[in-house]
Amino acid sequence: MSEKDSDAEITLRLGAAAGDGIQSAGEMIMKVLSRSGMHVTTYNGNQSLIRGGHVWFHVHASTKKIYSLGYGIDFLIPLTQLSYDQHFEKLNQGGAVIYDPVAVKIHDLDPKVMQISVPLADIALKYDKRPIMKNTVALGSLCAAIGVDINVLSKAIQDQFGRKEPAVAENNIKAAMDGYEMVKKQTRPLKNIQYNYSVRRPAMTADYALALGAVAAGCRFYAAYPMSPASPIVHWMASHAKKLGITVFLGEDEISVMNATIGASYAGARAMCATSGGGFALMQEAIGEAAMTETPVVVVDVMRAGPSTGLPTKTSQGDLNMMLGISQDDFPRVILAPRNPEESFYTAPRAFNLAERYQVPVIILLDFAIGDGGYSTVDNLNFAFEIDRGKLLSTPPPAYTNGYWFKRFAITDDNISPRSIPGTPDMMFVAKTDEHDEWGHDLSDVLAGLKEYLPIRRRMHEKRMKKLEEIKKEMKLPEIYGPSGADISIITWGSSSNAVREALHELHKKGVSVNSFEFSDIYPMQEDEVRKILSTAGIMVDVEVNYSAQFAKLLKREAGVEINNFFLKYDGEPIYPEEVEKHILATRKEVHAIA
Amino acid sequence: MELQSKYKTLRDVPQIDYLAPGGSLCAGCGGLLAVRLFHKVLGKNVVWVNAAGCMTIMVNYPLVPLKSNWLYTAFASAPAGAQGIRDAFDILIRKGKIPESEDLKVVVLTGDGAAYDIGLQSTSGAIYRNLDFYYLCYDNQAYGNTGFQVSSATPVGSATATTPPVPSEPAGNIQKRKDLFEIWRAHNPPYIATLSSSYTVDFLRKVEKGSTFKGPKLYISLAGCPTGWGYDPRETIREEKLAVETGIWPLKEAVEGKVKHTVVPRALKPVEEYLATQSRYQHLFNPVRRKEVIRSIQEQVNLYWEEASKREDFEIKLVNT
Repeated sequence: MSEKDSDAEITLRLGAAAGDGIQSAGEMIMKVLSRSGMHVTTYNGNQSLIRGGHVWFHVHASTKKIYSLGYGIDFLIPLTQLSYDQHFEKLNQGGAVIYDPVAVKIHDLDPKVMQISVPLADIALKYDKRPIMKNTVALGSLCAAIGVDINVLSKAIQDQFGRKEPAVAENNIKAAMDGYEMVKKQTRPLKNIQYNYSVRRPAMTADYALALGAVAAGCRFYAAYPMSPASPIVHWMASHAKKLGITVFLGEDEISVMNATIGASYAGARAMCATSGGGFALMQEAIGEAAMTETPVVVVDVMRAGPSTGLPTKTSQGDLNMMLGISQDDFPRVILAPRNPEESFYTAPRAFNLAERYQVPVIILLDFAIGDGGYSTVDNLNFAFEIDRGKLLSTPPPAYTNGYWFKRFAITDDNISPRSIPGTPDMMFVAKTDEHDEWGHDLSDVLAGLKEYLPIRRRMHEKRMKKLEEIKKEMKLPEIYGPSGADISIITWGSSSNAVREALHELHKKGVSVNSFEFSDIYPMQEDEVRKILSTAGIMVDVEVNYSAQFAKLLKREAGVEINNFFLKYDGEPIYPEEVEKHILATRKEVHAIA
Repeated sequence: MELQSKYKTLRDVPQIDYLAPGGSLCAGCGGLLAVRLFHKVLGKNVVWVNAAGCMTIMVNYPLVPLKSNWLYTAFASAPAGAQGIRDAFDILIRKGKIPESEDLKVVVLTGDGAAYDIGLQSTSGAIYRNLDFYYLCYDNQAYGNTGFQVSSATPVGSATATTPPVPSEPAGNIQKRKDLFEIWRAHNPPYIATLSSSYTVDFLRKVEKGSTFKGPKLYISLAGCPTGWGYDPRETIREEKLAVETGIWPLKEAVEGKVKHTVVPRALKPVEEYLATQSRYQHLFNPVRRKEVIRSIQEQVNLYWEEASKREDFEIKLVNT
């Protein structure tokens, strides 16, 4: 990786058995770097178990804005032999392994990787009967290796353990200091980064960022049933509910969750719920109900690898087909897939506005990689966004009332009927899941099939479906990175964009003519515009995290754009930039061979 | 006439185990202990039907401790899965493909999330159809596997990830537990019992007694949860014992609908002897003592036992509030 600007980037990985405190150590180093002016993105390689096994925490920090997991590993801290064996092959030249020779035997290591031996357990035993502080010692050692001010770590330790007895934080700080000093004696810092200690950025997962954005956008009703990796949203909502004036509803299953969300929205609240694929499957019938009653709802699916319970703590972008096919028959829906935590924050208000403006279900697709499994630093968030509640009336226009009933489903020029809150005088209406007329009254019983009523069914169905044409105009086109007219064009969506964007930098340095098209608004698609934009693309390569190239198939279905080259990953792990780079280099070789 | 039980003292606990040691569940898991004891009585011919929950991670590579069959179903539908298995076996028996003497036992195994919440409808249907099966609910009083969120089995006062004690709601969870025993009883199954591994002989006898009935045999076992409740894993038996001794976890059974308490403490211990040992209740003691919450928990326990003692005519000394 000699071409890389190694003095602006750090990738590091801590590995251990579950229960060794690797996640809190990882979060601590994340804090250290994000408080030192760096942009940071992390990934938590955890397993669904309590103890044992193998877990790791990956950190990528850069002086420039990044959301990807970076290239390889500059610093590996394996607390167990398995952690070394699993990860050493990814070590970058010029990097280092920081290890305890008692726990880890080094083998087959690239000679250009430095070995930094520190008696982690022995040092930890100075401060406690059990060597539980060995991860703190390792963090101290790491700070010396990357040349960051040890005081930033001390402060992070203080924050972490501040609520426990003072001795806990004090001993951890001493342990970290010992590790720091020991490495300082062995080597100069391997990184020469200009840290800026006056810049601190908060780090958050997309789950948290979305929750924050939703509440800021006026979400006052949140419903959930426990399911990883969506649970962090409900944890955050529940612990801030009273303070922020949100009602958090915990249902007995996802059917109840979805119906409660519809009920709250019907009664006028901005309402949202979240789950993962399995729970979403249960919500589907009710989402059709929201569509038929034209009740605005925002539903979040934090995708994990399936099918069925699949891999609860691993990632996937495999639920897109389910979103396109929710429930029975045709109805309009919106699918948004923010690419990173910051975009998730801004997606929430957009989702509510779209839902209320068009009275449709809006689906936000996150995934484990950014939702629960990884943090990213965010720049100052702008809370001043537009809130549009759509055609929500408190007094009926004369044409829409007969003095008692309200024409809730009136046919209008823009296909959107004015809406009201139940209880509004002169605005009684029935929200019917059977096909209905403009007043909400049933067409399914004595009127169904009668020739006078066939046109009403047709018009009601058309009115709902035609909203898609208006929604389309609000959908963002793909964001393009890299030179126009490149030989190779990467097509990607959602969180996969992060690795692609990082890979582009490296590919450009290698002189590869490549650009990328990142989609974050998925459906409805502005098919003509998308086709026009992609007509400028080179050889298209689809990059996504599922087996069947679900997004590429959507592109073909909607815009008639056909892609024949794919990088698809479905082993549960997120995409790393080097994998994209490798695939593109191989593609270029093929292309040249043919040419 | 009372059944002559094989299990009279702890010495009668079968040595044989159908679960290998060294699995990947949390150390000190009370749910696992219940599964182990249950299996000892039923023997090896068991097919477990499991809905998502902590026991799902029992079958983790390479530490699968099972010597019996196991079917996963959707979260909401384990009893429906059991119905399919039982019906298929009955068809095979009818066709003469397997002998009538086959004694495969179909056991639904779920946590309280599935039993009290999402799977209640499916259980209701199975009991209504008089399905010949066992239901073992390991009740750790929250969604343990996903990070200890509140379930409708969570007791008043417990902190969970979704009912954290906050200044405006300092008690933690304020909703009362569902009474699943009574919900099940209203369906008229032949046998229902509550269990705790800490009263081992009582536990084994109830499983033994249930097996003499054809139809739904339903069990709710308290499942001490070191991770969620917050106590030292070695103390699971002590915690569960305290739950029984304070009267918080009554041990009882209902045979053909008739309820009888099988363990009646002579004098109840104060509930705070139990509450104070667990971090999920620490906010009731620190930084300030929430007297009113503790008192109301005690009052609920007293009320329960007062009514039970009148109904079944036994003596019990309550705790003054």
